[in-house]
Amino acid sequence: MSERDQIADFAARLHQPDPDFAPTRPFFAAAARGELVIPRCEACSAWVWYPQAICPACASRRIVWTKVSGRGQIFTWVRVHRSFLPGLTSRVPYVTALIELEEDAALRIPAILVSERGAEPVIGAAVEVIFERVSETPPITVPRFRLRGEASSKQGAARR
Amino acid sequence: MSSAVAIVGVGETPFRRALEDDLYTLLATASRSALDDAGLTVADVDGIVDTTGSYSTLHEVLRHLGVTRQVDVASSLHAAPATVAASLQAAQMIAAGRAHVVLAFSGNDWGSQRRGHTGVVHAEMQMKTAFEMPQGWYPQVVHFAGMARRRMALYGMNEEQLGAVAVAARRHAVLTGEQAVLGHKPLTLEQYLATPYLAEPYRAHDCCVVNDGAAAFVVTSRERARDLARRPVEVLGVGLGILPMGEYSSLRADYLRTAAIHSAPAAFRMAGLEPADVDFLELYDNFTGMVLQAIEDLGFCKPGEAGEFVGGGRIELGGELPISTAGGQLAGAFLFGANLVTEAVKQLRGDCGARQVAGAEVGLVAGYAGAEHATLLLGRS
Repeated sequence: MSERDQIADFAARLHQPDPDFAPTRPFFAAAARGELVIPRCEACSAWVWYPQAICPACASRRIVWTKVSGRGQIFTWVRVHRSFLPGLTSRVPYVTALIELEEDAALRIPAILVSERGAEPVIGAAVEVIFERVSETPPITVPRFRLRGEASSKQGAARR
Repeated sequence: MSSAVAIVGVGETPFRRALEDDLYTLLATASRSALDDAGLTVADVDGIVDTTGSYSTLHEVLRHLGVTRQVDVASSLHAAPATVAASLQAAQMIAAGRAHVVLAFSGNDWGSQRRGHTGVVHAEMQMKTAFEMPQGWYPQVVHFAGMARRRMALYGMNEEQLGAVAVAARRHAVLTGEQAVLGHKPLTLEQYLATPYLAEPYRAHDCCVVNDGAAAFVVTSRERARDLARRPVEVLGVGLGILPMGEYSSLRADYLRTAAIHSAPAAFRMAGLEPADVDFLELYDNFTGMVLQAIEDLGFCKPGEAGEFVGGGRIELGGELPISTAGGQLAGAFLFGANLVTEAVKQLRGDCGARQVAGAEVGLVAGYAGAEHATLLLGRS
């Protein structure tokens, strides 16, 4: 593969996480099951986000991926009109947001906000997780969020 | 109180979208120009503040510059904060007797790199690759648009205020002429508002330029400075700060604050000055909203008041507190900080012609990089 092709290949995959990267593998394995999980210290109960192998609060290494409700609110949002990720170009304009999870205000998770009705996002609006299969080979599922109360049969099915 | 050192020479290459010279040549050329300006030679340099954090860049620049003697090398923060704080490392090296003439430089060749190169620094961070990029939370323009959106919701910031920052920087760039990358392109608020969004609420005019170029400056003792070619500019205060969780702006507890809340008080304390003493600002204006952020974090107004502050021409030349007098990074050049220092020095020497800040006695330079911030206060001697 030429250097130019290698760069193009790298760029084309920028929007896809590596499902086998060990420190984040449980997150994507859970997403494939339709669950949102966040690492939590078993010793002191602190959430450890983004994941790291050692708890910053108590130095324990007993960090456990823990299922959360998948509910939260919009902390901030951006409507992207020109994607810098080739793999997301077909989605523009899309809304990406930081979601504050209801378990802890310090837990923010970036997520594309899916809205079939094209509703205007508002900071503080209640949202819930859904899941989207973004690649078949290799199989990769990632969380997205939608405004709560905007359930649709199609997305409900994807949630399992 | 204050410091015992001064900036005695400044140098710049041309700043353009793309230049023929590679980065090492640019950095060496700016460095030689700064030494010429001071009336010094390469053989006089016995200290380097390495702001690049790169083994190959440091030693390639020394090779390109022809440095053959032993030099002491210091470093502290990264990128623009390192460059803006370099006078502190220089002062410490000089006070310890480890060096006498200290050179600092920074530059950029992103202008001639392939499109999309600016985001690579983020793409290489594993947690961003896993959790942010798959959600389109990438690159910088999206990160900073997120802050702007929240600032709008919390503080009522509006697009006219962002536009006022872009228009002021462009006006100063036009006064600067060809040494500003966008010096040939005037911008009105109407034109700003009519431009399509990239990452709403940001348009291209809200983003810093991407370019090639380099700048450098030379620091020595105030005593030695008196015998050199140019009027020295005194280093009055330097402050450094870091923010927890700073590298992931998505997770920062103080989402709308920068480490300037730590670096600015430290710099003012060292200088024995307060914000009211400052005549102009050279800010790290990577995005327009970060100018409002900086005005608040540096202590020029209270949190939430910067939107009002930037109105009515206050931040333009001729106004109460001119900002980015050579167009800053929005319209001048993005070089990781060194051009902000060289412009402040030129202002305090009174060398700026059409864009001169009348009666400039004290200037503030700010360098930002995610988790890090440096504040530099310079004074006319």
